[in-house]
Amino acid sequence: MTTKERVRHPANEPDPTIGAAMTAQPLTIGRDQKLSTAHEMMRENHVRHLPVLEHGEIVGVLSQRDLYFLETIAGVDVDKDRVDDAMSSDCYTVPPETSVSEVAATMAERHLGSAIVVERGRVIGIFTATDALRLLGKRGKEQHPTEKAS
Amino acid sequence: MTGEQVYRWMTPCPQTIAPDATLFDALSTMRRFGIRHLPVVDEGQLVGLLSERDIAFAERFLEARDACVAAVMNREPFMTVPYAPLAEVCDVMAKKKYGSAVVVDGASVVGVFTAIDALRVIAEQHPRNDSLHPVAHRGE
Repeated sequence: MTTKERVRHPANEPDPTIGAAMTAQPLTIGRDQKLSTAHEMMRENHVRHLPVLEHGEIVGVLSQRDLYFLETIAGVDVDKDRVDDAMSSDCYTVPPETSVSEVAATMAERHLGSAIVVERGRVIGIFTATDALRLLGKRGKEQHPTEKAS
Repeated sequence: MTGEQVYRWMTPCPQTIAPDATLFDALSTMRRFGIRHLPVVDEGQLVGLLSERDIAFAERFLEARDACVAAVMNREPFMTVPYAPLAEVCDVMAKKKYGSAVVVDGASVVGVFTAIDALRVIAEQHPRNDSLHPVAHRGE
């Protein structure tokens, strides 16, 4: 890589693996669990996405936005209705060695809010669009570490 | 990413919609202009933000294309300005868990920057051969 590329090219930004950028060991929920349980888990742990498991394998993802909508607009009974009724089964899974840029590209193309990181059939992490925002915010601080302090 | 500003990555959004318009009207406008977010403007004031996903959920559970925009929109959208540093906007959005920012220039809404746009930023810093965005963004 030339000096010019290092200084000028946007690819100068690091491109870690998704395994390094993900939130490891995310909370998960079973597809037969009640929606109220899912909502409580999200609220108490300040997370917005829950990978949904069946027999230990990923079968979908549930977002807090789905839950809020169900509660406030549709008026469903969250004490009776189950995760299975609200989850998206079209979830995006990737192995941990995939680059962040590749995952980000796919998420952007498919307008996905999260990618579930799976290794040997087990969920080991999650990378959300909020993680992407955090990564960009962090890179800005690394490039201007003293701006705020001065 | 040094010097990057929000306007370079936002989706320009000259179209707006009124709060009393129907979701059907909003969806028609989105489809016509190929956009997924519509700032909601009432008498020149930004009063909310409506996303295609908001409408999709409304339709899924309400069968409510006749419902008005105001019933479904986000009433407190995060606002920023075109020349705001991208990293700072992303930092605020991540900390507050905002999914989108309405970009305003004076009284005019000029675009919307979303978490999906943030994903595009990361993706385009390391473009693939089959990138959807063949025009490379050059550094400052």
